[in-house]
Amino acid sequence: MKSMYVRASVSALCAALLAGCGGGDDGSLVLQATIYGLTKPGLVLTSGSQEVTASAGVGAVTFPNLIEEDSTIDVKIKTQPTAAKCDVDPKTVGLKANYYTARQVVINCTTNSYFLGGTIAGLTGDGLVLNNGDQQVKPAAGATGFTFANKVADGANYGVTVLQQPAGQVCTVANNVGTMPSGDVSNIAVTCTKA
Amino acid sequence: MKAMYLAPIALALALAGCGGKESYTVGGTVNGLKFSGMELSNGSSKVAVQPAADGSAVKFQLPNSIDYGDEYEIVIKNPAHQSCGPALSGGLKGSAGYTQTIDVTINCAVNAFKLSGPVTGLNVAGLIIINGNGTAQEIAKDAANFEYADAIQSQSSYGLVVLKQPAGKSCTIANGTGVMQDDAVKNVAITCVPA
Repeated sequence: MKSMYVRASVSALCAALLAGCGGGDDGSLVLQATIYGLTKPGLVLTSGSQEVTASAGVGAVTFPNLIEEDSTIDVKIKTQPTAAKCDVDPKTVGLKANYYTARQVVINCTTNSYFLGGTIAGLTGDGLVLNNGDQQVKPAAGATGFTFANKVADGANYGVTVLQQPAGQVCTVANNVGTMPSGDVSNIAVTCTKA
Repeated sequence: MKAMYLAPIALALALAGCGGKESYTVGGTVNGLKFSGMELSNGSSKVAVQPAADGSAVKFQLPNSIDYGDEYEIVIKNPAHQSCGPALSGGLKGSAGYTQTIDVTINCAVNAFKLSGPVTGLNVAGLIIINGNGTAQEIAKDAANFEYADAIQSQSSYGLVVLKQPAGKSCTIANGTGVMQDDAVKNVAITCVPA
């Protein structure tokens, strides 16, 4: 009779210990994911019943619970970050967990990016060059709008200036500085007058 | 008489037989080459190296081969706007036969320079300047000079603008737009007046 109580209490103790270290995921391996290109908040990853949140800018996350040796590595994206898209590298999941594979899950993220542009009034001369840092756009005479070829990432700063004035004219830019929203910018206003 | 000719032939055959080469070409790879004007030489043997259209790595080979055991030392004449050097320290010198082939890796980087200049009228904190999506840099209260944190690559355009005006002030930037040449720009002037 006594041994039954002992057994029962031992198993209760075992259960309590296991629960203490995270319940069902009673393994011995640290599960870690390396994250590339994450600049935005909100990314949530899952592995079975456990999840971990990656904040903006982090390069790696570790799941709270250890996973079992030889279990299948099954990291998924539960919630995408705001204004960005992440993917689990398929080559790094679906593998049997061991000391190495459990630390080699890779998540690649790309921040959404949008077009930067605006309107042009009064451009009659050739040669206008607008720039946003090292990016340039060359609207031709008569153009009424412009868009930079390269998109700008959500949350990136921009500052458009006149790199070269057109022949015989002086152009100024308004609304030319800001932080990229979650959509195209088309309100940069270039106004050109006779020099 | 005949024997005099036979001896060197036999020696050459013997060398070829044991895998040794009699002459070595001096060559390698140049990474990061973007501008023309690069010349590589080993003694009087010279070769001009031109950038690839897509900026990828280019191979080079000096016109004169060298004999087994001869020393070589590649001298670099830099292309325009760039600085080049061996990927491995000391990698431009060696002796033919020390390795199976002479394959020297040279890396080139575009020279980059800073923007700086005087600041007047800034007696409050909070002015932030940017170049494109570069560093958002606060200029300290009472600064008399500034230097923008990011070096700008030679031949790249730049446009320093005010991302955020300080409280109660309106700051403008003169000479803040241009194409970087091969020297620091020291005449960018920030002027702040009461708003």
